[in-house]
Amino acid sequence: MRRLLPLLCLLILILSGCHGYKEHGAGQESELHVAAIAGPVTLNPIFVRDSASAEVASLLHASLLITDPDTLEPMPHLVSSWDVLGDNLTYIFTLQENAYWTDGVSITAEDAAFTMRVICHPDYTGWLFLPLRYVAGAQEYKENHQSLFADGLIEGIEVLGEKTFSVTLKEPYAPFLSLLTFPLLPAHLLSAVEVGQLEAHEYSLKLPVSSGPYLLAEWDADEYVHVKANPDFFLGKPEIDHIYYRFIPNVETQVIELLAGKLDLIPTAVKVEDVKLLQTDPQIKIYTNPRLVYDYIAINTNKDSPLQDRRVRQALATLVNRREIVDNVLLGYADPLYGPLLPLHFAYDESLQAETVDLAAARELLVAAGYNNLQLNLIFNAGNLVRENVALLLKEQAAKIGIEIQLSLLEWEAFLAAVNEGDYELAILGRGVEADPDLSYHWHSESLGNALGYKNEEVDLLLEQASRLTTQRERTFLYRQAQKKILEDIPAIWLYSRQAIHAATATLEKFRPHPESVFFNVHEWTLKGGEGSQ
Amino acid sequence: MLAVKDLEITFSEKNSIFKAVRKVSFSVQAGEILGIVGESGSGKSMTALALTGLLPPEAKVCGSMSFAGKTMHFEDNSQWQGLRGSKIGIVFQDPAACLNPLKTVGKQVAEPLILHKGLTPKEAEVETIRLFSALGIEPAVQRIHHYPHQLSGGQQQRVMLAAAIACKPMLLIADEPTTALDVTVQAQILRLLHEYVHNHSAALLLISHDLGVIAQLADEVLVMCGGTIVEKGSVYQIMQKPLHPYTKLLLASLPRLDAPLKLPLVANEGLTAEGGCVFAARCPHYRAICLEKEPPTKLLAEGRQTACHIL
Amino acid sequence: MIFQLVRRFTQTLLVLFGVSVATFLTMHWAPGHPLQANPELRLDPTAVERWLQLRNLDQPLPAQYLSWLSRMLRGDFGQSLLYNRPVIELIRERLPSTLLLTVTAFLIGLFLALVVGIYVAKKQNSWVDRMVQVYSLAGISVPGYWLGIVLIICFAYRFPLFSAVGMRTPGDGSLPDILQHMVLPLIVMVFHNFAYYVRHVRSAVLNVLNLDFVRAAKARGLTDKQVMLWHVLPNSAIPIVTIAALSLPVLFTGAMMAEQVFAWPGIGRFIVTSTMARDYPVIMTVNLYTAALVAIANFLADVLYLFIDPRLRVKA
Repeated sequence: MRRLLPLLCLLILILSGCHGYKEHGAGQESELHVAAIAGPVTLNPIFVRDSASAEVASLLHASLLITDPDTLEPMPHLVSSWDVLGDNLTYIFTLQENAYWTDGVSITAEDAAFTMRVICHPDYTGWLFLPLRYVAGAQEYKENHQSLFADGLIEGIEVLGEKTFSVTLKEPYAPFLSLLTFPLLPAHLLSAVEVGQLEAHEYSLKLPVSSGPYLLAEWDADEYVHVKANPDFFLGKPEIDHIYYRFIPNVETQVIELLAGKLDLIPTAVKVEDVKLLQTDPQIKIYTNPRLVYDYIAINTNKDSPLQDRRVRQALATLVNRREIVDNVLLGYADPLYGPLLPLHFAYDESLQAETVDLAAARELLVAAGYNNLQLNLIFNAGNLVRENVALLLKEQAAKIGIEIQLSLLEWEAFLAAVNEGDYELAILGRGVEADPDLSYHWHSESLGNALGYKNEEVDLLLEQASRLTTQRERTFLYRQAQKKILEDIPAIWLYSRQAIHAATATLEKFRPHPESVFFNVHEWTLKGGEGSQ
Repeated sequence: MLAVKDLEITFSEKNSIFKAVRKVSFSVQAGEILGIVGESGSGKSMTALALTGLLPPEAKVCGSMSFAGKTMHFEDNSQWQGLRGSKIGIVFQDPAACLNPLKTVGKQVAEPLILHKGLTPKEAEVETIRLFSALGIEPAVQRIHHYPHQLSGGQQQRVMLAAAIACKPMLLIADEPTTALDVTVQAQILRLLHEYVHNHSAALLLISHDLGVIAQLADEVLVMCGGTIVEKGSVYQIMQKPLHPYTKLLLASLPRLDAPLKLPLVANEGLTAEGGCVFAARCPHYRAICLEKEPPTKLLAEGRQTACHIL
Repeated sequence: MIFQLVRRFTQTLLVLFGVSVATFLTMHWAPGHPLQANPELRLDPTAVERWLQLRNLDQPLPAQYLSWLSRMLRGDFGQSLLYNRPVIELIRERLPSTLLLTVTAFLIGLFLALVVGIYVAKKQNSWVDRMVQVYSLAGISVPGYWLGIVLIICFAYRFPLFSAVGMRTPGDGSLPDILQHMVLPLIVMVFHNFAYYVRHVRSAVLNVLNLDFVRAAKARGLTDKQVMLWHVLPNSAIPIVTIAALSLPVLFTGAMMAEQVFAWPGIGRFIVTSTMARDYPVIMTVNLYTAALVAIANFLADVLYLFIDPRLRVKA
């Protein structure tokens, strides 16, 4: 043992001396180290389903259009300009003149047409058909196309020239442009691949060719994705030379690594409890932005229960103090929510803010519905502290008016099963929404996304009308009306929309997170002094 | 050759002190066989262990001992190390348990030869084969490669004996060497012990609960009870004219050679003899003094001694 | 002997078959499928149906199981539903980094446990012994997660001696770089391993120390060291080998906690994420592979027993 000790000391010295974190290349090539909870599962942009893959995809691929980070209005990107023909049915798109695939091949209208055919192909299994189903002939292509390849033609998609193509819709659909935020596939590389084989194709793993601000340098199974600046990016070569997207599953480790200067950015998912600690470090800057997500309490009205009585639902709705939840549980990093439209939406109704907590009124409603006291069960998933707190607050409030709420904390699998089978009375859920305020996906009675089974013919009509109109003023009016009707039916209790909290090194500049993508303007980011933080 | 004076062995636990052996003195000469007899718990095995320095570390030993002209220090482990296996050989009771089950018996017997005599493993093997033949472990050439479980109890004890005498020790201590064996095998082992003492004019300390075994071999006999020597004399004296009531009881139980010794454990119920005679509680002839005072050792004619109030 | 081996082999096959059926059923009886396992996934319900069809997940369970079994018997363990890559390939990518960590931790832990365990067994009830006993209890109960975070704060932040994340510095990956990344996870793992092994070593050695042949060996004049080396240790080996063999499968399934806290790119993390993601082919393969490892470990232990103990070598 006595002989081993000096040896051990020596070993420690040698090992600790040799971790030259970021020292190498300092001054020449700049590096940004970004934390991620998990790694991506695919690099193929049109098969992305999870958020990690989406983040990496936004580094590697350029989407057709982007939305403005503040107004969420469509803006040019890979599509440099577009025209809408008078009938609001046909759009003519022109691609960037200087947009090239990383192998030097020009990005053409054929790539766009091919990508859309893949998305409309019967064997395509991603989610992007939802935005394209309004294209004329898309549904027919999906139902009738026989070949295993994405060949043939879709009636509404026409290649007009090397860089121009047109898309014609079945009927006017206002949100269409805001949904064209997906990237393209290189037709010259993948047109000979069966669509059913595309997801598992080598392209998803090696990504030999892409179009975004960065190119893939290395994807190391469970460690990191290393990307380097694309010198031929059509908006110019990004300022930061290398980005390491590193998979660190433990958030505590992420925070310590950021404090230690070994990470430069924790995007989106910084915990509200950690913000105070991070703010004490002058080397770290906190950024926040609203997101297109919200949490709500779903009320099951499809089962025979007192909840079918609107007065009982209203009694419950008058119990919830959103302001309190936002201030105390979420420490202010959220917006209280009183209806399905989010503050980011142009149709958002700011007047709908008054807190309605009124115990006496709630009690009266309950008694009027014929109940003196009541038992209800509330399910929520384990591992989400905020939702657990909401459940406890609701239970406490409800007890005051004679409603006993039984809480059941379920593991995700069981929770999911209960929600899918409608085996609950109240459930705390979360969901993401589109950039466009169109409420159809969740609230139109015939929509696939109408998970609550909500049905109101008037609302259906209003939503159908609104999606055909083009002016924001008209649409705002209709969506607010629809929202009002939905709120009258009380199919759910809206709670809050959480903000994204990012923590970055103070040397990172021009970081401007977008509600839907943290790497929205990554090509503009710089690191002060051209190197990572220390 | 071996002289022990006022040997005391104490075990102390948290708050109680237990004297396993008290004030035991005796000596053995070369060529002499000294038998120590007594029931289990009488301290005879403890005495044997003390004479080899093998007592557990928590035991405290007092008294003095000299061996081959040298004073032994009970605490000095390295002094014992040099003697054990070379000058002092020891045979224990249960040969099956005393052999390492994972090593061949030949290897185990060869250990002291390599260690003390500095033989090479090859030479030690030759010597082991010779020892095995001499002790009747046949066929010796094959036997050395056997594992303990492949041998019978008698063979195992011969192996133990081979290991004990491998370096021709001057003193052999045999602690119940035949207890675990069949009666017929007992006699063979005893004969081997006797042969060794006779041929090498070594001393033998034979320890047994069985007076019959002692009677076959010993010259002198110590009778131990409760950690003290209650009687001492030549084997003839002890067998023919036992003085101490305890010795008489031992003798009385003798005819049933094959049955375990059955002494009345508590004959005089309710008696406690703390500070008195160690045997008083079971003595058929006890008197009041036996309960109060330790009997002094009386030296009698012809080297006999005994410790009893009533004599 | 051959009969025993054949019987053992058949038993193993039966166990593996049972494991595969049990895994398959529990995986598929639980509600939901891989695309429903993550609340964040963006999905098109019709595309999800097609996705299930393309992967034969819409077939009845027995048919799915049989096709899986037949493919597996031909050596095809299928494709990960999440990564759309062969399961074997995914495991092969992650196994080396796991083995690097687990085997090192195992060896260091066992070595320390042997040294310390033997020492304290000799000095039973000394203060060192008491300390080790307290530690071996505490060491098992201290949450590794907590210890990991403490280590990261101390040695990657306050005194930044070692790296806390991953297996190598991006762009580096030289041997010293990997070694210094290993230090913190190793400490956490050895802290546990050692606590676990040391009590077993201690009790194994103590048990043997009290046996008669130890005294008999001393009576032949062997020194304490010789007695320990020649007689005590070989006899203590069986329980120690058992413990070591039981740890063998764990070496191959990774150290989930350490991999999680230190973002080590190993198979333990992969198993966790695959299970969360309901990636059936991966879980099936991993379970079979673990069951096979357990069987192999047991077999190895048996062979070692034979090697150690001549009494077991008796021809039946």
